[in-house]
Amino acid sequence: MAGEERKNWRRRLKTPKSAIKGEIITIKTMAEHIMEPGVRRDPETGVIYPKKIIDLVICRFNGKQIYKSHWYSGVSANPFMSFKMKAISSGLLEVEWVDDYGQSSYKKAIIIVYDENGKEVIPMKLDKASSIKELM
Amino acid sequence: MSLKKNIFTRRKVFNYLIGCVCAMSSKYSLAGQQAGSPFRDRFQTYRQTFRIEPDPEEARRIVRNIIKGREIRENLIFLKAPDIAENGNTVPISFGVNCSMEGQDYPRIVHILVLDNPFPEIAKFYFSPESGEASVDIRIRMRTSSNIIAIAEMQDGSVGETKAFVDVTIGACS
Repeated sequence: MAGEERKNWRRRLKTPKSAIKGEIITIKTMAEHIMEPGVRRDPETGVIYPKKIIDLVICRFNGKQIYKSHWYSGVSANPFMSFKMKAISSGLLEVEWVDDYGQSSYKKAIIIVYDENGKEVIPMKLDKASSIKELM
Repeated sequence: MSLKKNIFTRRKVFNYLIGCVCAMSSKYSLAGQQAGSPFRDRFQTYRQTFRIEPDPEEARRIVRNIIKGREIRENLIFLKAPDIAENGNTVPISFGVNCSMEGQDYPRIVHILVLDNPFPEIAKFYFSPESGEASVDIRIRMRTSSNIIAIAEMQDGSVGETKAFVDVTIGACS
């Protein structure tokens, strides 16, 4: 039983490691989950398996929510989903899956975005060059 | 003696009035919870442990509740689904929205519905201008061969709708 429970927790997230600024990149996600719809019966005993689905997937980039989806029992088992994102600056991508029991799990990835000149686009603004020295 | 005979005391009358008001308000609030209203979502998230039969009338009511009599814009949303699905447990579908994701021109919500499922609502997708293109691939369950409907609600209030028919050979129990 413990092995089965652990199986429901495996998550996958596939992103390109680097991108050019303004490019639209594809993010592929997959969660290994039974997605029990709550209407299936055990063929021998006739007992109904209780409902257990992932009902919320949130995608955040640098802490800001860019994409969200609500799922119901009609999504297939081991749900695969791929969506698009615009690369503006390099940063941290987090995808969070929430169960209908309230259990949440997340996976993160770092995407590095380069300028046309080959410079990395940093997701913060620096007013002066000297401000870095002050911090150091 | 006079007190005993008096049935309609002030307190009793007030209690009766409050009871009437409560009954009326509960009646009206329950009348608002028709099938197809957002209250159905609460029912769906409820841990469901009984079998229910598909109701196409209710599916149509849900679609009507999303569109709310607005005009349907053509060529706004396109849906890609296989003509024949051998296994109803995993039907790969994908959709996209024709829009420049700038300003008000992006889809706020995209709904996916399968009309002949016992639970027609399958997924809702919330986009923002940061997601550069509103296109998603996902795999769904279908019980019988039926229409898939995708509805896009744009931020400025316009609505787009498409249909695709999928023939399912072995259905899923969902």
